[in-house]
Amino acid sequence: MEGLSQVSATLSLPATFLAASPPWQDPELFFSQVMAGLATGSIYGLVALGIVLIYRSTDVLNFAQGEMALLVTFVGWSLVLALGAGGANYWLIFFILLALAGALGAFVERTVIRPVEGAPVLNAVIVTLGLFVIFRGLVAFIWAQGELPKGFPATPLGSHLKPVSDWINHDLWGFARITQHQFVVIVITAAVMVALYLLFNYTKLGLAMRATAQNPLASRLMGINVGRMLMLGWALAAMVGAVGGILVAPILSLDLVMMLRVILFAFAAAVLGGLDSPPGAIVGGVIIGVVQNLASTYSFGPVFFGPELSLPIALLVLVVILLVRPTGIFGRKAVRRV
Amino acid sequence: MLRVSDVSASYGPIQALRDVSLEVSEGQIIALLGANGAGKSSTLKVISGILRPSGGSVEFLGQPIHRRSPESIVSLGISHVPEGRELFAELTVEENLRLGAYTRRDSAIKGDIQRIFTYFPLLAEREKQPAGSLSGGEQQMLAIGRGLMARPKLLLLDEPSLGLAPTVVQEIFQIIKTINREEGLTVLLVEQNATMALRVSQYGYVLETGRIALAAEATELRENESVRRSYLGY
Repeated sequence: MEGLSQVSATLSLPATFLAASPPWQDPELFFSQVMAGLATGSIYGLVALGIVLIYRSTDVLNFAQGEMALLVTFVGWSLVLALGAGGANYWLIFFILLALAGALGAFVERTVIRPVEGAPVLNAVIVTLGLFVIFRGLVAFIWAQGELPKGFPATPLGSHLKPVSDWINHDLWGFARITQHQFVVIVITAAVMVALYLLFNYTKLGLAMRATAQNPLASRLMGINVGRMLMLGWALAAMVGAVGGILVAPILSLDLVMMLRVILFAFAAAVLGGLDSPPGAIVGGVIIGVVQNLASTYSFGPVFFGPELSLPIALLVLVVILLVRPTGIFGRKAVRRV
Repeated sequence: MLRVSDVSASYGPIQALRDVSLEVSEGQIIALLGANGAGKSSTLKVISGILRPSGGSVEFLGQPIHRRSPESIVSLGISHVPEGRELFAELTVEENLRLGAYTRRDSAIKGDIQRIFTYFPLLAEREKQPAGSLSGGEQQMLAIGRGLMARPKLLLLDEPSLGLAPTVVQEIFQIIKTINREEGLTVLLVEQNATMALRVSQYGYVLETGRIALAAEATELRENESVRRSYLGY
């Protein structure tokens, strides 16, 4: 023990790499870090949600989920340059991008996913990996030859909610500080969840989509157009993923590798939540986001992981949870009919 | 009402049906009998549009339907209650019934769910339970109820007795008969349990390795020596 404290005393780390004082001494920092984790976790969760929506309806793991969002976000950047993002323009662009993402998802399902439907799972995996490469290449070809964009606009929602955000910025319940954008990320993620919940549980279309995910044969016998439902599922997933891309772009800088920094955690979040549970994807994302933030802030006893090790720590938590619940937090036990 | 003429069909290289012809008139219960793999289920799949025939035609109410999609065949008034029930196991009883009415746009759906519950009171108690949690008999009742929710003119019933206790089978056949009598529902019934099937039906077809081997009045089939030996077991 003597030796260890000796080492940490002699290492002259820059101030930002030092562990913060423990939560009971500085609760405001603790809650601020939790809120920041909630915000990044929400973004992981949104991308994970897209992965889950596709997986549970078509049994395909869409590795291109992040890059589809990247493409849409870059189109958004071009629109921002052309139209400007002031005032109502932000929302105009936002909804154009949603529509575009939906069309992209539907197009991908129709053209390249449908032919491998019913083929071995690995075939579909290879197809989505191929899409990953294609969309990356496309983005690089169109946008990355010139100067990379800086400063993707954040939603103006924060400033519209001026009274609320003032209060948020100063102190949330007297504890936490979060930025307007973090607050907006959490609000929009919650809104997406509510919208999907209403769609799946209170509309005929949502019921038909759930039925198709469970039993395509029986769905056809009920008169459901199964192909259309799968196409809509992909459209919906691409839209949710695009919201993730649009929200993360102001935080990370919009460049070719932006979604790479998200997609790994999104997959981890999807698995953690149970891979076929939409709320599980968000909960999984939030857990990983919060753990990641706390691990980079605090020392655990004499051990301080720092920002570098915060990512492995977040994944370690994933592994530990899967040891206890192999099918994820909300995952069903795999039941196969014989 | 339904006329199947010279239908052939195959699964890849395996021919399932050869020149199958049969007819169903309105208001009847018609039995389709045969051993495992004789082509009973394939015949129903061709009628409901899940299996594309390689030859022949299917006419329903005077219209050819063998090139139509399953979706449009449901809307024409044919409901297929498939072998093995194929329920939406994680959806509730009520959601399963609502999906049965998917092609309908009218406002009488709620009332029809209540009507199904009067035929199958056991289902009413399980309204909010997932279909997968029901007993085998209840699941079969739900599958039939879900089929009825489309308000079909013709109900295709595939092996409703499969894996069920004799008393439950009796109960289900009793209800099928009641619905046939009270609502004039036409039924094409596929069964391995020939005794039961011939008791409720007026006319029967016997399939052997994809061909119609025998067609006669139900009473006649019950007397028929070879049917008795092969399917009735006495």
